[in-house]
Amino acid sequence: MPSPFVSASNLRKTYGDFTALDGVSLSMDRGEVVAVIGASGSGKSTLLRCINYLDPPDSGEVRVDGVRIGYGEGAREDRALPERDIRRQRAEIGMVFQHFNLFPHFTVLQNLIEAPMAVRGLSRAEATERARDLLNRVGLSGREGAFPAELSGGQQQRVAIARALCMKPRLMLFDEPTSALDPELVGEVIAVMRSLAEEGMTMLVVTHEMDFAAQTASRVAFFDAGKIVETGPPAQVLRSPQHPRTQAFLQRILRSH
Amino acid sequence: MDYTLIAPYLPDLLSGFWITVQLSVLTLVLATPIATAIALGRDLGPRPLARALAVLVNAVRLLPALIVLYFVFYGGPQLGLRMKPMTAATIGLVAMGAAYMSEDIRGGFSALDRGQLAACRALGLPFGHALRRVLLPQALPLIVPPYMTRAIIMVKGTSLASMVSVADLTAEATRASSITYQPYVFVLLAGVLYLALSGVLVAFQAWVERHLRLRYRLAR
Amino acid sequence: MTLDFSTIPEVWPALMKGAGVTIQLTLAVLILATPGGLLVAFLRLAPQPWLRALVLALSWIFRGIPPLLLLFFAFFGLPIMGLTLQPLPAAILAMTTYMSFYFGEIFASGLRSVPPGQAQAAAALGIPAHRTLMRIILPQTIPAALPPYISHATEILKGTALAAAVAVPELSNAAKKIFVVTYRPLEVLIVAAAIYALLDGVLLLLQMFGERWSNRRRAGR
Repeated sequence: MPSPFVSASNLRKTYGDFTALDGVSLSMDRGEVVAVIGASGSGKSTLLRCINYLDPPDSGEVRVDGVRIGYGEGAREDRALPERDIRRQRAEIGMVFQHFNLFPHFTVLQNLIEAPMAVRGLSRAEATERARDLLNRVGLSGREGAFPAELSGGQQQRVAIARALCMKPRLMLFDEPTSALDPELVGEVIAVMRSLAEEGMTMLVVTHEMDFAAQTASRVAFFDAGKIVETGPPAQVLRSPQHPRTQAFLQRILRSH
Repeated sequence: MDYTLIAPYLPDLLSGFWITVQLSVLTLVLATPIATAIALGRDLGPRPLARALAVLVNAVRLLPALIVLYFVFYGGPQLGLRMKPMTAATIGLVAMGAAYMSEDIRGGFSALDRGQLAACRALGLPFGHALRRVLLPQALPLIVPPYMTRAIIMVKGTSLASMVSVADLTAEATRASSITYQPYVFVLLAGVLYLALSGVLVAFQAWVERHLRLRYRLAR
Repeated sequence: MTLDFSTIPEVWPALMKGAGVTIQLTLAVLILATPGGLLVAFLRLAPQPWLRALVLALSWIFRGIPPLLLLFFAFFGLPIMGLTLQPLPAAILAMTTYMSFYFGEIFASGLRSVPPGQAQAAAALGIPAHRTLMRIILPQTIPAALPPYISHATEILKGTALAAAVAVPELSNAAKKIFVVTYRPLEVLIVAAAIYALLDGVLLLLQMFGERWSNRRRAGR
């Protein structure tokens, strides 16, 4: 059996008394789109931050394409890497934040080319070409010179997605990418994510958008109190959930809409 | 007012002013990098270092500047550290200034969105690069005003050096006053010179703020 | 080298006497500079532009000149005007003057923090101006002004050390007089520093309570 493209096994993470991850395991095949749903504060964001080692887990391991994150390769797999080397691994994993986290003092173009130049060593011309390409893809060509504050929330989030894509990541993490947006701006971001999924990008998406989970995700994982309590195809998890916590959560969502 | 009485002391006043300028520049130039290092150590360093720095900074901030200067100038020799008044005054003023300044710098950084650092790390940017290109440019406009206020306080604070035998502007003005009984002239003259120094800093602040606005066009 | 605190008991009374003067000086300046600061604040917000400009200029001058220089001026300069003061009153006068301008800045921004609608509402109700000020406006400035007010009180405490320069027998002066005789500055300075830290601690405790109180008051608005 071929090993999965992404595998997180038995991740644990506590902050003081609070257990954010209580033994979480998850694997994803190449090109798979997994939607993580669950109540706020249940540890979903921590899962993403542990996968790219923004917050190293207390225990457990993460592998992306066979490489263990945070550790050396091959014979050196038991050696924890210094931050400098983890950074190189992290650059292979794109991340999109709830609050965009664009650099406010940079133009759109500068936001996109900064990391490719600094981390990948691209020339300004190469980075700019790649950036223009991706801006075109997220429907924002012509806005290279704008500053983030001059854009709507939906546009900012699309720039943030393009910024992550500029690093040519092999895996994309989305941390509630539409939660901070006005309702009428959610659609444009979802559309970009959907087309990305169609192009075969491997995506792990923490979201409250049930439509996205139902229509675009290949699998839905329900997260509750630091654990994944149920996972399966969207139709199964969303229409006929097995776990009582999932049922309760979905009922609440249905009622509030 | 008798000008012939005053004239002989003007060169002294001028040399005192020159000492004050040197002391001011020296204190600011040395305290700034130390304060930055303290601020970074406290906010991003390992916990034991952060704790130790917090204790040190708060201890210094509890004391009158004069006591800190006495520690260096009078306490130093007891530890076998005999130094010139100017050196002792500089060390004491730098310690004081750096402690207060580190708080000002931390204030600027604390106003930064923590998501900025997370975004830099997620993109794989090295910390130094993130600091230079992303964090500092955003923190600087927030740091400059309290930094300059602090710088002016530090320039005024150099007058304490006169209490540990440095012949600075304050020392020369007082000496001339007490000899000639013409305090108005000398104290007022010294006051004007101090105000001029502050004025230079205020002008510098305006220039820096304009430069930062133009350079980063912060649309916030 | 080792520290030797054996002489401290002997000089303790002298240090305590110095600490007493430090406390007196701090309290005197705090008590006098508070109404002084209010006066400056009102003048800073006066309707007459020339008055505002004058006070702004004075404020800039008094906050721009080293306090030490102002102390020397009170000590050496005023006698020539026919006003000879003992060291302690001279120090109180000088410190009160410049602290009034610092407090003035704090109080002025506290007054600016009260929405203009408050005065308008009081006027609409026919409340007299002085009553509006005392009962409506001033109480509302306190939450904004209290924290910086108390933190400036610690500045007064630390600033009292400067009075040593005009021979006020306060704590740092007492310490110096002792160690020039005992030749053991470190021990005396450590004890003096501890006393300053203790006095600071009292003010910081006040500040903590004050801030908690202010936050509650502000949250309630």
